[in-house]
Amino acid sequence: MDPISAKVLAAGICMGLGAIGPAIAEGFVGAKAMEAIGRNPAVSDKIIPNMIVAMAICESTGIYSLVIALIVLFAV
Amino acid sequence: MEVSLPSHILFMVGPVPVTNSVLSAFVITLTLGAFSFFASRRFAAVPTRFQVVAETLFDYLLTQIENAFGSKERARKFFPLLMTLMIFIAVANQFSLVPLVASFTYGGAPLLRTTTSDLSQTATLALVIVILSHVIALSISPLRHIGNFIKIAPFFKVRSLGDLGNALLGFALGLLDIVGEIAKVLSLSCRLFGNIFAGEIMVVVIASLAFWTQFLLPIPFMFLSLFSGFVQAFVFTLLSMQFLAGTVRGHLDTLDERRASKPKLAAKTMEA
Repeated sequence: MDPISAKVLAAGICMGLGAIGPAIAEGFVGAKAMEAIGRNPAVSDKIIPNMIVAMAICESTGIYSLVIALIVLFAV
Repeated sequence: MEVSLPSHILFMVGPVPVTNSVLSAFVITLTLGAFSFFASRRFAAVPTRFQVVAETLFDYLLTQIENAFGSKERARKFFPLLMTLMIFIAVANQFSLVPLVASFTYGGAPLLRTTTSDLSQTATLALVIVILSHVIALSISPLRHIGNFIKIAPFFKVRSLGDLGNALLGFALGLLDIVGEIAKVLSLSCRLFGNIFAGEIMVVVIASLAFWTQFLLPIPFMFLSLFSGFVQAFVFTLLSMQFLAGTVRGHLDTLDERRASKPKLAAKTMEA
């Protein structure tokens, strides 16, 4: 396998596998937040910002894999 | 539109290279400064529409900071830094939507670029926050702050073998906290950079798929990156607020106790 195709393949696998975890985690966070809003719609203003921050934290592993994919593609 | 990972060096000021992302950060800062200067001169008791929006936003963030830091005076002290961060990032994220910006070139390189899609810029912002928290903590109670990371104190209280195990475990966890501080910088900066850069790349990829995809198809992706730009500004501010408060709050509490127990010293420091 020549280096360029190995690079592209590595970046694709890295990004694809790295996206699984954050996707599941954000699904959990969103589902629980919706559940809470469904039980008590009055506090939705307080829940939504917290939900967004929690989602952003869940997202960080996905962002790490994006950064690694970019490093593999452009920097190595 | 062209997207590149490193920013281009435009010219040198002495030994310091000035890249296009730094230049556009300056442009944003000056624009925002001028805008807020002229906007704040028109503020009145009967608010205009813009003033209502600004006051709602400011009030919301102030309440958040107050909850995190524990008192109103502290919140007012940290408020300017965090609000500036939020406004700057929110505007800088939308920079690629300004029409014709990409067509200014200087020596073959674009003159301006989205400054938050450059890792150096976001790493600087994250470093400022994390280093600031440590500087404040070290200036209030240096030994205790270092002791939070290098936990030697439990070793002097060891009475049995179980205590020794606990002390060793605490020491290892303290060392892990040092890694955690580095990870804070990494995750804060990479989160902002990754989201904005990925948004730009997405638009470019969609636009360059085929001839007909460059007209209407990128619009939903542009909308997505616009939305994530605002969300990331909000997230960056809230997370840096949490990091600052987590490191600094205990030390500020001891500072207040110290001032309460020594009123003379407090009066002196107030004068200074």
